[in-house]
Amino acid sequence: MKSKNLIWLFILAIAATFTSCSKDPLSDLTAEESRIYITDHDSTKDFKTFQTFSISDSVAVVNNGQVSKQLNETDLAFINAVKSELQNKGYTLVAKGANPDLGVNVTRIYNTSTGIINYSNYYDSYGSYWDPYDYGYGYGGYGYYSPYSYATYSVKEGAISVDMLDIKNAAASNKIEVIWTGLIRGSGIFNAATASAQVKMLFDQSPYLTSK
Amino acid sequence: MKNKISIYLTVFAACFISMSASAQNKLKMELSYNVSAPLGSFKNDYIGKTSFRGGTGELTYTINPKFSVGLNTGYQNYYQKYGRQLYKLEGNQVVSAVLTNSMDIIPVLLRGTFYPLADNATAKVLPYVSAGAGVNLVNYGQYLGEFGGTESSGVFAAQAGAGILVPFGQRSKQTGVKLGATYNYASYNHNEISTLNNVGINAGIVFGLR
Repeated sequence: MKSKNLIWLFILAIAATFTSCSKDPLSDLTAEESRIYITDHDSTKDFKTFQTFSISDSVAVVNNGQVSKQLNETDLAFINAVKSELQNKGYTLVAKGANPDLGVNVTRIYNTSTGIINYSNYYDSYGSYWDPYDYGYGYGGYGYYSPYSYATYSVKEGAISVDMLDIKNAAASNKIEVIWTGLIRGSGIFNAATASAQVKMLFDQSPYLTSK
Repeated sequence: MKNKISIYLTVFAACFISMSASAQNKLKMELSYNVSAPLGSFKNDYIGKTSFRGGTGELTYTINPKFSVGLNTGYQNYYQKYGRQLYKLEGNQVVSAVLTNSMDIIPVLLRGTFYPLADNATAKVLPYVSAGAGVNLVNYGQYLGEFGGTESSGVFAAQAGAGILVPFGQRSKQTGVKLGATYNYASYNHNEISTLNNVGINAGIVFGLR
């Protein structure tokens, strides 16, 4: 009888050890450490051949596939941060109607799915977030083309995508190609105070992105 | 965490106090705290840090004073966080992230132990060597920032060990303190890791059950 109790105590002891010893990786991360910054680009493009850019004056919010255009303080901070990073890289900001070489869009993406999301779906409907006609680059009727699909991870919250479009060669190729993209994911990304630091991460890891 | 440790210690103490006083128990129990240092690819490619979060337990059957066999199990958690760095993904994709690697190992081994001096009545310290083989239940975890997950598997494992047993008081009570080291081999190949080999140092108690 006594030994039976001891075996139970043994099992209890080992079980207690099992659960108490493990370190939870997620609880050991700060918000800054939780974030990931992913960039991708078309390596066949020479970014020095582009000189001017235009940027959207609002943000497309893609919420479980539903799209709306919004502009809050945080959105503005992100747009301004992208603007100044591109200017630091030597590109000149021009108005939408002034034949920019590059178009830049900032998109907020929300998905409440707890499973795996494939961000290639994001580009599949790109034309509905950033209608080529409404957007005013003057290339209505062209579809978008993007070769990117992000690696898949389980989703905890939203993401911010910054996309750079080749407007210069759109007429020649009959499509508006996404030639650079940056994606920010993690805790506390929608924050005006840290917007410029976050955008800087995307550009710092893309040294090829320069007009000179 | 602290609470669980105190539960564990209470249970541990209860085991210790209630141990049987009958002479020459055939069935014994061993509980040890274990520190483990990864080796080779496990250390170089995944987690370099020594793990102080682990323990083992063994139910031991004494065949004769010199030989015993036991069912050995335990738990060890390895963990390391690497500062923000750039990593290449597929194609031209680059990700800036804080990388966290974790590894849980639960060994389930059949282990034999040999005490060469066990029939020497005057020996105050009993050296031993041990060898075991079985399965490691492995839980691999990798996170880029807060994104990632774990994958579990079971792999072949083998162990060689050596150390000393210091019996308390009368040898016949079969209670003592055990100090030792183990070399642990596990055939594991997953992503960047090609081995789970590690060296463990353990300290614990042994007591008779019946």
